[in-house]
Formats: sequence, C-alpha cells, structure tokens
Amino acid sequence: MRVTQQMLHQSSVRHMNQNLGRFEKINNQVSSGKLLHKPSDDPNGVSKAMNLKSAIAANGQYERNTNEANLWLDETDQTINSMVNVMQRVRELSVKAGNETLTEPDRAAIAAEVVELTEQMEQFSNAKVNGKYEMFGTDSRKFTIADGIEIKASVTADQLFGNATDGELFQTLNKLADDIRSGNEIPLAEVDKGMDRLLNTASEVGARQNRVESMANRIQDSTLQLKTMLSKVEDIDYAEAVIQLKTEESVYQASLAASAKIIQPSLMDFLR
Amino acid sequence: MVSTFHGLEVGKRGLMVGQASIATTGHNIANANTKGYSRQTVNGTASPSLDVWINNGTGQLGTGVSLESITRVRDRFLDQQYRDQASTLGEWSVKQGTLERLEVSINEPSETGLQSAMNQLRGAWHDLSNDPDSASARAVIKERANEFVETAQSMNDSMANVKTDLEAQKLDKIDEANGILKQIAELNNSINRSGTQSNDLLDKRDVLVEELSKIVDVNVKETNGVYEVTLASEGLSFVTGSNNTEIQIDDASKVSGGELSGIIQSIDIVDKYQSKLEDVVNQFVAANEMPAAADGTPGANLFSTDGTIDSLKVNPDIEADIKRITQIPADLDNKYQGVSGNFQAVVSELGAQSQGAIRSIANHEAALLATDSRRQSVTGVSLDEEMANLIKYQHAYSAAARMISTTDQMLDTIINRMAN
Repeated sequence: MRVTQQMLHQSSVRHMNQNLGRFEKINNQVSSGKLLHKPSDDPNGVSKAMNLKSAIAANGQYERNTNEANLWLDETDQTINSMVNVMQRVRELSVKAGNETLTEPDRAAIAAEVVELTEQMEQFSNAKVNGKYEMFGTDSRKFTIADGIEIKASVTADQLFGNATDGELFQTLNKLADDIRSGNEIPLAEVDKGMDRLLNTASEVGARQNRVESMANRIQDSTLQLKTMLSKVEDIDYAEAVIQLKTEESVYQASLAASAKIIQPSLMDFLR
Repeated sequence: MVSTFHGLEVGKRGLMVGQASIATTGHNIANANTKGYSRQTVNGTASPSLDVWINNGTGQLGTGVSLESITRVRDRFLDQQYRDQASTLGEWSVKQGTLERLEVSINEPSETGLQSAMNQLRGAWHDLSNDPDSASARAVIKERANEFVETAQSMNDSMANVKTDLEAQKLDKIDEANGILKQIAELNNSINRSGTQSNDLLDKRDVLVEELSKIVDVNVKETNGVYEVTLASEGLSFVTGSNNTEIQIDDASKVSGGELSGIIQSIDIVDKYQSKLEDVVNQFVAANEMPAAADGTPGANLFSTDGTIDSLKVNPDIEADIKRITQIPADLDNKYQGVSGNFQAVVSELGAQSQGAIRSIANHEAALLATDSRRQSVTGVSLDEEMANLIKYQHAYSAAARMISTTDQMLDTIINRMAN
C-alpha cells in the first residue's frame, strides 16, 4: 500500500485524540470519584442509582416517622404508668374504705381523696402529645414506618377507659366516691377491672414500642445496605481507576512520542 | 536521411517534458496539504518516429518524447464510498449532539434533578402526616411543590431551547447546501468550457460534493465531465449541467442521511422526550390529589395544570391559603414510586439511545477514516515520492540539456572544423 504523509498525519491525530479522550474520561472519574455523570455512561446503572437514592431518601423519612411514633408511644406509656400509680392508691383506699370500723368522717376523708385522685386521672386523660394533640382521642394516630406498613401509635379513650356500657373508668370512680361516702358496698371488682384495662393497654403499648424499635433497626440496616449498593453502582474503585489512569497516561504519551517520530522526517531531511 | 538538427529537436522535447514534470512535482508538493487535492502525473509518450532507410528496408528512428496529458490520480469508487459514509456520519453526529444536550437538560444523576424534587415533596407529605395540624409542614409542602414546578419547567425549557436551535440549524444547513449546489453548477460550467482535464477544478468540485454529502445524501452521475446531483432518497434533481435548483424547506422532510436528516430526526427525538417528560409530570400531578380534611375543607390537587408543563403551577388556592392543603394524598408512596419508576425509565431510555449514538459515531468515524485513508493512499501526495521524482526529473532534464550541448558540439565539428 502506498503511504502518504497525510495518512500518517490523520491517523496520528486520530489516535492521539482517542487516547486523550479516554485519558480525559478516566481522569474525570478519578477526580470526581463517580462512575456515572450522565445517563449514557451506563443507562442501567443510572436508573438503578436513581432508584437506590429514592429508597435511601424514603428510608430517611421512615426513620423520622418511627421517631415520631416512638415519641407518641413513649409519652403514652409514661402517662398510663402514672395512671396505674394513681389507680393503685385508689384501690388501697377502696380496700381501706371497706373496713367496717370506719366512722363517717373517716369515710368522708377517704372519699375526698378518691375525688382528688379522680381529678388527677382526668387531668392525665386530657394529656397532650407535643402540647398539641389529644393523647387519648377518639381516633387512633397512625404512622407509616415502612413501605405499606402503618402502625397505630396511640390509644383511644374507649380502649383505655372502657365505654359507657362496659364500666367506664370515670363513672366507676365517681360511683366509688359516692359509695364510700354513703357507706355502701365498695365496687372493688369494677375498680380492678379498670385497673386491668390500664395494665393491658400499657403492655400493648410496650409491645408496639418494641415493634417500632425493631423496625427502626431494620430501616437502619436497610439504609446501610442500600448505600453500599449505591456505592457499588456509582463510585469508582480507586485502586483500579488510578492504575487505569496511569495506563491511559502512558498510552497517550506513547502516542505523542510516536507521532513526533513519524511526522517529522521525510526524504528531504536526507537529501543534500 | 535524418535532419542535421534532429538531435536539437529531440533534446528540446526532453527539456520541455522534464520541465513540465518538475513543475507538476512542484505543484504536488505545494498542494500536499490542500484539502481534496489529488496528485497529478505527467504522462509523456514517445513521439511518432521517423522512417529511415536501413540495410534491409525501413527502420524507425525515435524523435523523443511528447507531452500527452497531465492527469489526476483518483478512484471514483472510493469517492462514492466516502460520500455515503460522510452523510451517515453527519446524520449521527447531529443526533448524538442532540442526545448529549438532552442528557444535560434532564440533569440526572444529580442531587438537584426532578427525582430529588419528587423525593423531597414525598418527605414533606410524610411530615404533614406525622404532624397534621402543623402550618410549617404545609408551608414546606408548598415550597417543595414550587421547587418541583421550577425543576420540571427548567428541564422542559432547556429541551425547548434545543429544539429552537435545531430549527435554526435546519435553515442554516439548507442555505449552506444551496450555496454549494450553486457552486457545483458554476464549476460544471467552467469544466465544460476548459475540458475534462482541468484537474484542479475537478478537485474543487469533488470537495464541494463531499461537503454537500455531509449535509444531505446525494447521488452524483457524471456525463462528459459534467455532474448531475440528485437527492438519494427522492431522486429530486438539484444540479443539471450549469443549472441548479434550490433545496426548499419542504424538501427537508424527504432527505435521508446527512446532517439535514439528522436535524429533522433530532427534532422528533426532542419532541418525544418532551412528551415523555410531560407524561411523567402529569402522572406526578395526579398522585397529589388530596382527600377532604376532617373539618370538611374540600380536597384539591396540590398543582394546577392544563396538561402542559408550561401551564404547571402550584394550585393558586393553595398559594393563597396553605390551609387548603388538607391531608396526605391516598396511597402516596405507591403512586410516587410508580412515577419515579416511569421517570427512571425515561432517563434510561435516553441514556441507552445516547450511548448507542456514541457507539454509532465511533463506528462510522472509523469507517470514514479507513476509507479516507485508502483514498489518501491513492490520491494523496507522498513527499518522499515527490522528492525522488524531483531528482529523477532533474537528472532527465540535465541529460536532455547535455543532449543539446552534444548536438551543438557535433554541429560545431561539421560547420567549423570540416571546411578547414
């Protein structure tokens, strides 16, 4: 094949360009630490990375949601515990009031304390979360703590105190005070029932706290995993990339050196 | 008998051809880097010989050399191949350029793209759901919604800009092609007048045809040295002899191959992605339909739009009163995931198409360079060869001059010495 200077020139320029292009690409990767800069770098990888980033963002939100749910459950738990303490005192008083030897002023004093305690219970029942929301309302509060998973983070008043047809706690307490005052038979069984209801609810809240806790752990694990995967998709392997950078650099330099050698001489350089 | 002065004539002819050869070599060297130049060769031929009497009849006595032609070295087949490949490359390079600009417009993967705007709005909805009475959660939703609108609109605008540029480019390319067509017709005319061996004019015309083939795919037919240029796809004739007709804008839709066709396809590509983006945005809007609030405030959509991205804005009612943000839309997470998935599919499709275009360009570029290299091998000027030729011709010229001085000495012998 007949070879002309222009051919050499063109192919040298082309190869230098190609090598410089590859050098630039790997250089860009090393300096940014990322494999993916635009969709065409790896269409599949980019879509995967976008999906992973969404999932990580969603997990971040779910983590905040679990914190919120935890706040509700913690406050509910504490309030119910305080109620249980109050109810224990009420029960003590009920037992004491059952004693036949008590005089009327004694019973009146006990009844007064029960009324006092009832008022305290009412205050507890009106407790607010964050100073804003009724803790024991008519509807339960739900939080989304994972894709499609909602958890009830509150206890309704009915659940905690029972409803009107089934020995509502405040009715029981009011009746108790009256009964003590007037020396009637003390409705101990009903007091116990109210107490049991509080204890049951408290343990249910505890169980839910555990569930939220374990979900929070799972979210953290999953976030870590997603981040690892994202890093695999979009981050460069530095060792590999730097070696490749060095390779491309030397290839580029070789093409420069070769072009300098090939382009320069012609027969003219050797003729007198 | 041969003329006494025959030697002078033979020498003179040798000098003339030698001079022409040296001049052509010089021309070749001077044009070694001229675009589209093909090397020229001097074709000498032995001039008609004289009959001379010899012992047994007549013999032939040489009369030196005569200049038959100066021709360019060219391979028409390679030219055709080059033109075809140039128009394919032209087409792809415009498409690839467009796709690259669209990739910039779509701004993914990034922390500031549409995807992250959607993620942020989703987070804001969850915060509202956690704290349903909060005014600040509502304000955040409104701001995030505005951010989404801005992001979507800036993407859409930058795609629209790409399209505007392409439309302008289309007109420019048609003008350029028309200018070239006119020049080809003029060169046809000049070549017709100065004969089919006007090498430099032929080269110039071929360069123009190559430039034209980058813009549109054309067929070239040569009759008696005159080119007829027709559109490859439709057979529309643009140059016949020294006449040319202009490419009209309406013809643009008929072209196949070349930058012009690339531009037309690119406009379709931009339209396609704009409508895909619009679909995604509309799906997203649909996912933000709020149910009525517990206090009876009627539900509304967070956005208002008539189906185009340009008209997209945050619902003016909400802009006026954030209390109109009632509560988290039903099934928000699933719907958002669906929209994200669709958007990711658009990004992947664009990425794959752009990647394909990059590969196509690399292939066509390699093919074009290979053809060009083969063509250079035939038509290009080799300086080594020219230098060697120069020496060859120089010696031939010196030898021819010596022939003349030898004849001169012979004549001197006859004229001046023989009489004494």
